[in-house]
Amino acid sequence: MSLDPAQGDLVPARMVWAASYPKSGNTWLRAVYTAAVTGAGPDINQLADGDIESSRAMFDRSLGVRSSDLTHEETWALRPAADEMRTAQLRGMPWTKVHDALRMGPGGRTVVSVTATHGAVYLLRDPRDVAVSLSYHLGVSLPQAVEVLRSQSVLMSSQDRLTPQLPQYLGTWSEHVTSWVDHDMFPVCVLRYEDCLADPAACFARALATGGVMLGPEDVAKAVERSSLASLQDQERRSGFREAARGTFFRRGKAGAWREELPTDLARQVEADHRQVMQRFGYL
Amino acid sequence: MAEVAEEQPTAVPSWTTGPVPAELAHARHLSALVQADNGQAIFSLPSVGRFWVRPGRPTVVEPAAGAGDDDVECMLRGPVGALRSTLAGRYCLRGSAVAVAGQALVLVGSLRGASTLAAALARRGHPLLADGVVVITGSPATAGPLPEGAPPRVALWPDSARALGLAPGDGRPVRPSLPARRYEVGPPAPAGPLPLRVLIVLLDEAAAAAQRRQGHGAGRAGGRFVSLRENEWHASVVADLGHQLDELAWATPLCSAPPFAWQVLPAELSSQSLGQLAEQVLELVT
Repeated sequence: MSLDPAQGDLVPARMVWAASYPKSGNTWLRAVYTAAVTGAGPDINQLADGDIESSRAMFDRSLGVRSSDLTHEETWALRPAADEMRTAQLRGMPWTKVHDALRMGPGGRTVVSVTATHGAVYLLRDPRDVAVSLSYHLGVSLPQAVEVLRSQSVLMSSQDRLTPQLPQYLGTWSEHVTSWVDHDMFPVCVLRYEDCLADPAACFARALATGGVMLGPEDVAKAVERSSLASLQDQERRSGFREAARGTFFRRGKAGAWREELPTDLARQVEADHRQVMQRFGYL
Repeated sequence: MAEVAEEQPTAVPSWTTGPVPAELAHARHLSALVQADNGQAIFSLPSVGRFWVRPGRPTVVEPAAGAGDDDVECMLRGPVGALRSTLAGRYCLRGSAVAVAGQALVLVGSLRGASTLAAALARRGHPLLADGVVVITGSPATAGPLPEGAPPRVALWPDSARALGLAPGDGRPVRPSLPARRYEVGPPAPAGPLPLRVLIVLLDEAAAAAQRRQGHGAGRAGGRFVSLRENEWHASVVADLGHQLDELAWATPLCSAPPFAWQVLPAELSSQSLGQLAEQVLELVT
């Protein structure tokens, strides 16, 4: 028997993934979404619809287990099941942030549940700008940040402290992009951060529509205005931001700032490492 | 849930090895790891094994190939132990507890923070009552460890152990493949549960600020109830077995009574910040 919402059946939610490599504009995207669905200025510490997919607290509550008692492989294998438990308790199309590459986990399933998915908005940004932003965010040197982009990186994989999020496999920047844009498991709206800066209303209208939020141009423009970088920076100054690892989270947000901050040899390194994907998306 | 016979504390975990069914025929709760009906449950983690939980009888464990005693014990001390207590009509919180002047101080909200702060309090002479699973029973409420558990040890990651001045070699691995270790800290725990004096929800700065903005502080019963449910073991099992009314009866006195408090965690847990935090929470009790 299939469920019919028109007959009052409660149909489990299906997720909309706000997906990106770290420091690519994900928080901005979700701030606009929050402003769009609430009609108010977003609180950066309470963005709709909750925490990142890899949140330990959410995983633990969903599965009745303690992720700190599990190995990385066990949590990777169980994350799709946690998504399905969550969506069974929700309705509609909640947006959830995710930084993982869309790859198969040890259990033979993608890291996020495909059956619990409605679609995704994938935001990508010039990796030279990502490298600069990442160096500030992680507190590492620029050469180290460039190395992160070219390595099989795993976020939150500390063997020293219990992190608030589960380990997240990023892969290289290029692998991350292609993992999300080159599949046919569910629809993906692909946006370049630079295009969002140039024409936010048009880009975010597409993103919102992918996630089931149908608004007129004026309402989208209002949501964009309420989520301006200046307003997000101001909130962070006044109230702090829980995702800021160190220093300021919302820094410059400018496209092409790498020209002023990334030494030429490192910029050439990034271009060599990611030439194919950079060319494909107009960065070279 | 309360009709099931109460279990008495035992010195060793009450479990045995044997075959465990792959599934329960009429499970009312079905998730990736847990199947449950009102009288029994199966917890299944493929890399560790299957656990058949029936209150009043030893838990039957069918270990997976390659799983060791530490792997099995870790589940018995955590999700399986909590499931067993839940089926027996006792509610369990994710957190830690210490004894202060004959009463229980319960810490929930951040597993890392709760275990580390509980260890800091134990190092100051307040016996560790429970870590990972805190069992709440009765009215007025009492708090204690799993009745079938071994003496409580606190699970700490290396950074927390260093902040507390504990040598990694003094602990025993939680599981061979994990960096966290269990430590015996502080004086021996008193036998049995103790009257619940205060239940403290540990929050990071940003979460505390958000709560203040939303008006969900310690003064709001609704905020307290949400917080309890968020920190309850197997809340979805309770819901699927239809025991929300029992749960409400259990949670309401806790939510309406004064001993509920919020405490903000420092961003970094150092020896100094832990000392200050320990003093602050002790002020709530004394």
